[in-house]
Amino acid sequence: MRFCRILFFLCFVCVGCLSCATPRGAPGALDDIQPGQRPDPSSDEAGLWLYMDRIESRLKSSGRVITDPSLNAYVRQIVCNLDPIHCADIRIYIVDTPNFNASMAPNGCMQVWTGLMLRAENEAQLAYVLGHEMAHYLRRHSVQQWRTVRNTTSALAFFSLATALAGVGFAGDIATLVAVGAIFAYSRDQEREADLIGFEMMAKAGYEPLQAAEIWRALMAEEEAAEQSSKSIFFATHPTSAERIATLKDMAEKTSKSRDSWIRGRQEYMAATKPFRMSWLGEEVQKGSPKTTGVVLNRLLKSEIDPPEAHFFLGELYRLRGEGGDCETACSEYRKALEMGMTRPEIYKSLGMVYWRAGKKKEARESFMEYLKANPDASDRRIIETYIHQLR
Amino acid sequence: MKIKSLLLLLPFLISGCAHYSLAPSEGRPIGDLYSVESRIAWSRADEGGIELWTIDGPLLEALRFISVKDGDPLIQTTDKDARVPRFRAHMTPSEVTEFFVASLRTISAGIDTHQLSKGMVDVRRIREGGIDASSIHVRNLRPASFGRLPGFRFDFDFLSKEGLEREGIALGAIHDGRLLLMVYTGTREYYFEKHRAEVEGVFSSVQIPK
Repeated sequence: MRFCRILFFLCFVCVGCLSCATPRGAPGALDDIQPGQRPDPSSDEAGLWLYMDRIESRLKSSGRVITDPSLNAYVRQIVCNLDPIHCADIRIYIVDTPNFNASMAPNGCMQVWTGLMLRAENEAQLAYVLGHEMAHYLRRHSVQQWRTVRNTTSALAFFSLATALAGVGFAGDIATLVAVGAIFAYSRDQEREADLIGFEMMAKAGYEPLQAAEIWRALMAEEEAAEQSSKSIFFATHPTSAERIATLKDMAEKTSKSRDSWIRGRQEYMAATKPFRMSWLGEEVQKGSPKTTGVVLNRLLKSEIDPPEAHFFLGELYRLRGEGGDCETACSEYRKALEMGMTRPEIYKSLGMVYWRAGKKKEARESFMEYLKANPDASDRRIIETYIHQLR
Repeated sequence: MKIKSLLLLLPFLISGCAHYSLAPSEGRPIGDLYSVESRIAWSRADEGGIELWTIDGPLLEALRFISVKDGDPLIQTTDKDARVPRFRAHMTPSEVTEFFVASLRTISAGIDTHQLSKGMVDVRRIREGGIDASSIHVRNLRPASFGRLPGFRFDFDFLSKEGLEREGIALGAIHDGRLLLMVYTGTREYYFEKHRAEVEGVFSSVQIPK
């Protein structure tokens, strides 16, 4: 009898363990979302989807979405490599915003911000971040959090915020998304789970596992340098730590031995993003966070990505900041870009302004003349001619 | 009683907070800096220290008269964010356009993510933005007269937050260490062109006291 009881207990434990596999994670975890699955229309989850559907609809018409077919096909291919089963349910929007961010709404709307695409050094790094976000979607973490916060004071904050922001257009919607993200800041367990699942997805797809820790490490360096008010949106909802990076690195070292070759995809990544990188660099410099932008540009230089362009935009960063010594540093960066063969005419105009500020009138005049020579049809030709005249 | 009070308040809530008056067409002073004339009467309002003129409403078209002292930001914001770009009297017109774009980017796109992460959102600031600043493109910077002053003007375009295409023109000069800027914006569809000739008239009517 006693043996029977023990046997029954063991069976119960085994069944319990099997059921632990799905759902995984903390108490309150839900079943994974299934391909093509939509929530029961009478459920609270359906309400959340409806809200996200409205935001997605505004995102589509915002004018911020990059519609270039090649770039979209490239990102979609990465998503499908990571999860061929759910890829058809995921709608990807590459959003032209110079901040590091990617997110997935519970309804399958994925946002990939160009600030992330500028910072990723290769396909594997982007794949890891996308895999991490897809893990939150697959595990329905935001729905879990939605249910958790309903019972806390944060729920009141969420609804008052959502109500206040309703109808203020897409920028408001970004704020809403961020705010939703902030209020739904995933729990430590959910973040660990997304790290693990995202890592498994990237490794299964053949992406070099070590790249997961690499992009976190780069972002942590940026975050440490950040001005308090320019902390990354992504980090607001995805707090990082040395422990997290160490865990990913440890997993990568173990996994790396399981295959002879892995995909890093640097050449493919650079080829796909090349037509947009100058524009993304320009937006990064103009966003007004010189410390973090300096970290980003110096990292690109260290990795030998866009070296002449990175030098030029470092020059722009220092010129626009205009603090003591910045003019000399800007000049030095412009010269490095020129030595590396940069032919962008704007570099001469920037040099002219820096020389002028430094009181070097002759050099300033010559630089402006060089600018007009390199760009005879410049739309600001007449104003540059007035500068040349004033510098005589 | 409560409902009655709410009904009385409703028109004010719908029309927004700005109080409009009629701008006389002749010799309208802009602060104590200069004056302009117009053939028609505009509705005018004070938009946080900026003189705003409009005919069909600021969401469709608006002419703003901006004045910035050395070291000040383009538009005063409610928070004391040190990252707001500041005007410097030694700026070239090219640098003024960079300052203009950077300011709009900061004001409109600069939703303070740190505050958001802490749940402290200045919703008013987001509402005030109105434009998708990442879409601003400046072109055709060229010399132009600002009354008797040598100045500059430029064209620009951008998208509203809802993705609506807008056009803008600006005429400016730096005088006594202060940036004087007249900025006209309107929807590309219909309204920008509708009042453009009137705006050109205002631009060419600037009188600077000696």
